[in-house]
Amino acid sequence: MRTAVMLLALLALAAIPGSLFPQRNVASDPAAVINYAQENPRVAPWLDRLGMFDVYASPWFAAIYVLLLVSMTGCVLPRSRRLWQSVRSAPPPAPRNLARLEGHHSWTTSGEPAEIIATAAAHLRRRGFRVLTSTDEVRAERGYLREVGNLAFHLSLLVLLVGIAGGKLIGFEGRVAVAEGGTFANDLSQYDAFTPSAWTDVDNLEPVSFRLEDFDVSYQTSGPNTGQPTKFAARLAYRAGNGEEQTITVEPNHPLDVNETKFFLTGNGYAPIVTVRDGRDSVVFTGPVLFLPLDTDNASEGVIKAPDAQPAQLAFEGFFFPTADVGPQGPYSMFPDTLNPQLFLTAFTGDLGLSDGVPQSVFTLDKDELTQVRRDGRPFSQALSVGETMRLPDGQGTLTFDGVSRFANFQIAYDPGKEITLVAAIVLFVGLTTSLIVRRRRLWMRLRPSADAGTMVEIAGYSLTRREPPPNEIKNLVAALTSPHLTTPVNKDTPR
Amino acid sequence: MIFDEQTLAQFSNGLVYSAIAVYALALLAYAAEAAGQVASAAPVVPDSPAHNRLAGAGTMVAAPPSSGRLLGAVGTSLTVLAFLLNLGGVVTRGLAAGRVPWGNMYEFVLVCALAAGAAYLAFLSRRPVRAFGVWIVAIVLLALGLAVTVLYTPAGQLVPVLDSYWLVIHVAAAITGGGVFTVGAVATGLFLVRHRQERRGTVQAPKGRYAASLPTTRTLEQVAHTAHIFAFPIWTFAVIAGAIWAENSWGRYWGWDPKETWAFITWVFYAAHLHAQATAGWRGVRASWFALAGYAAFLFNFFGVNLWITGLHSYAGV
Amino acid sequence: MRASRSRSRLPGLTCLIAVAVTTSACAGDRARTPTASDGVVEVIAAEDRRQVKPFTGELLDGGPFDSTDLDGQVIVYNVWGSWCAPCRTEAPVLKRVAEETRNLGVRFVGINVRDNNAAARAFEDSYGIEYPSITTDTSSDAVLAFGSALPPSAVPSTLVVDAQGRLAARIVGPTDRSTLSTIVTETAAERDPGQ
Repeated sequence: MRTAVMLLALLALAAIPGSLFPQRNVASDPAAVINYAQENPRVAPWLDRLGMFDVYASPWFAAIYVLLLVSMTGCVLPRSRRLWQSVRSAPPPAPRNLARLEGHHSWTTSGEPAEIIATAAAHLRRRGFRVLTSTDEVRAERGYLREVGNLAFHLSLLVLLVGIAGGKLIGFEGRVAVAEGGTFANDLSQYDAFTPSAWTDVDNLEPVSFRLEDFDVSYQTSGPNTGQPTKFAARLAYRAGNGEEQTITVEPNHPLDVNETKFFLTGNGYAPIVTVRDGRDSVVFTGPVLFLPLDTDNASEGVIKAPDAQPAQLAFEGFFFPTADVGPQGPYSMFPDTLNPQLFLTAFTGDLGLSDGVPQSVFTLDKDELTQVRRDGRPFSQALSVGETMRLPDGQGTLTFDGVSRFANFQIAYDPGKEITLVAAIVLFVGLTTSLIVRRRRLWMRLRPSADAGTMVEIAGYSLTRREPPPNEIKNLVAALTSPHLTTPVNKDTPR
Repeated sequence: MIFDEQTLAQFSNGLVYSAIAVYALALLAYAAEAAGQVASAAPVVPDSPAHNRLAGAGTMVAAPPSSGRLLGAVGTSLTVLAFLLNLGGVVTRGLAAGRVPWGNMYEFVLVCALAAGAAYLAFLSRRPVRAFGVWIVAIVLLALGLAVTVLYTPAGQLVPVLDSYWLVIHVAAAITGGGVFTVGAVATGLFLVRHRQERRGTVQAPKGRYAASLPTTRTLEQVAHTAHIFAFPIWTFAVIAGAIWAENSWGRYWGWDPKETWAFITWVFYAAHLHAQATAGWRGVRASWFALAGYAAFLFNFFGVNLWITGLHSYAGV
Repeated sequence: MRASRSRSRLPGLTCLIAVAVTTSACAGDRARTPTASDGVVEVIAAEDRRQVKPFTGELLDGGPFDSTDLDGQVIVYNVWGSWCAPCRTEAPVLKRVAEETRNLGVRFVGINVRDNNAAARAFEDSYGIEYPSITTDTSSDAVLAFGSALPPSAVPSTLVVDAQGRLAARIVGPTDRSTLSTIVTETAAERDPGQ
């Protein structure tokens, strides 16, 4: 027990750093660790060595819970054997001195001993006690269920771990952002991020594909919570296996579920639709570009790359504001919906750095080999409303802001151990509650011939838990035995 | 409709402010009672465990002077009134928003204060725990004060991700658990105070007068234990319900989000406490510290995580 | 609700895939040939090959595509996107091998993914790609069709289908010329019963 307490305390303390430092694979922001390392270049490598960015997968964290489970198993198994024995054995005989126990009552009566014994036994049996009688003694015990609950609780922890392990070994988690009209096919090549488990079969993902037909968002337009979203709904046309195309609306808390592979709507943003023409006036890009939201009014940032523009590659960088306004600190968004959508862009030419084969993010520009487009010595930038075109100086190219679409972010999860975990959690809860609520206790009654003719009756109880037995249990028994139609108490004495 | 949503929301605010005012008066009454007991060197009557066990209801340990007893009764009456005002504030808030009144941080605090008040009054009806009053009321007052000043959010619709019946289940369980844990924490704290004075033998010295006005360590320990074993399964349920909701909403039932982590830490500390209570040599004082650590983790989860750490639960609205 | 901050379009994806493939390729029925290029190559012995599901789509130049129209021919499918840097390094390789093996009856088909048609056409224009490509909008069937054998798993990846419509080889990541040329030539040679 002492070991268990220490290990539990250690487990609680060990979990703390994981909530204070950014974590790999668990945080809502996947770049958090990288950003932290950039901001704290001296501490970060040390923290990393200690596993502080991977607390819940670190060897020391695992060591604590494995030790805890081992010590628990070592404790619980012998206990279940003892429980089995005690369930099969009778309640133990009464201690010699009942007066030292709790709720001691004694009185003398002229009643027939056999009748008193029978009445007491019947009374206690009706109340769920296991009862053993002899000619002068009643032994009763109740609340074995507490031990059963206790064992069920502890064993369910082991099952819980099996369920968690199932997900950790076979399941996966992934993410993808899809613009309206865009498609997704459930293949590794289509994910933005994919976190497999040790045994994930990445070549046999569920064959399902979908197209994001439209993404519906509404915001409160009045009242104290103006701008707060009231609805997110992604309408998908999906096809599972060889089946027909079907339509479904995916909303928060309402995922698309195809044979346990689930698609959750977890985020959204804007994807301005642009057309880029290069120096030859050829169209080198036309379509939606994902811009990542920066604040609750959906000010968003993004980049547009046209690596096949000629004679020089083109790139644009800037902000999108769904309801643009210009304040003293520059342009910003006043409202999350598209009341006055505007793009604020600057342009670059040169080498995007894609030709050397090193993969790069679609959300950032590698500016090493790029030059900012300037006019009159100042960086060239422009605010565009829908339909407007930005013309780069010297006929280097143009960008037209054709319209606005939205994108939806999907979290994709497959966790085959889930049902086991759920059942274990239910057993855990029921077992725990039972073990804490049920009070295991013993109750004894002893009859002795009294000095002044008649019978001396003694009753006392004993709690096997830290909680007291129900207060009226002994009183009720006494009342049942002393009710006038049964016996005539000669002398009743309740101590203290 | 006689009351439109706007009026109801204002009415709710009015009730909450009234609750604060009445709780403040209750605090004064309770504090005056406690001060009176400390000032008068009250004789200590050892209370009988057997009697307590059988009667189950209250005798104060120290017989306070009658003015003190009156102050205490006034404090309790005011607490009941403030509790009812708080309840009214929560109900009207729910009516104004047209949903369960626990959809953002402001509402969580209102309901958690309500749960703590309810837990205290429920214990008071069975146990001699009026000495808790001053502390419970102080905590509730602090929470409500924080709610109306820092956390206030106008009544409104839920953000879509919270719009789930799991909100009703998960948050209600967490809040109820929190309310009862509060009583457990106060009982545990007072147990430690009284225990220390008893061990030093200073209960009857002037320094120990406050401790002397408290219920016996045995009563305090029992109240704490009852509160903890009542709240712990509720907390367990809240964590499980939260995991099911997380699976429903984010596709994973456990992701070590800060809120989840601290719920876990809270759970583990209380589990350590319950184990320590069954361990020879740890029972009593040492075990108590684990319970207090659990409550500290709960408080940090409730306030700290929402205010300082960003995570998936941060939309819970501050 | 907030979009994830960094959608790294898979920096180091090839590396991740390589790990994934290493763990999944213990089935024993596929021979893995590590190559000098970044790609992970799996060549499947004739008796272990599995059928690729027939699929249809639209082509970047406007026409329709139906995989059954190419029945009886060796086809090399290349999954690519104009945004994908490794696709640029392997584009000249694909162009060259396509030209060299055309006389052997081998056909190359691109599967453009996560792209827009204008950018894709500009890419083909830059690298002088002559063979057709399925558009991003109609690429889902094509991407999933290989799932019955081995899915593409990464961008870029190259899938060689034999004359019987079975998957003969998969290259995950950019390919180099000698590897692709060898695989394609050998697969094309199988057709001749005399060998």
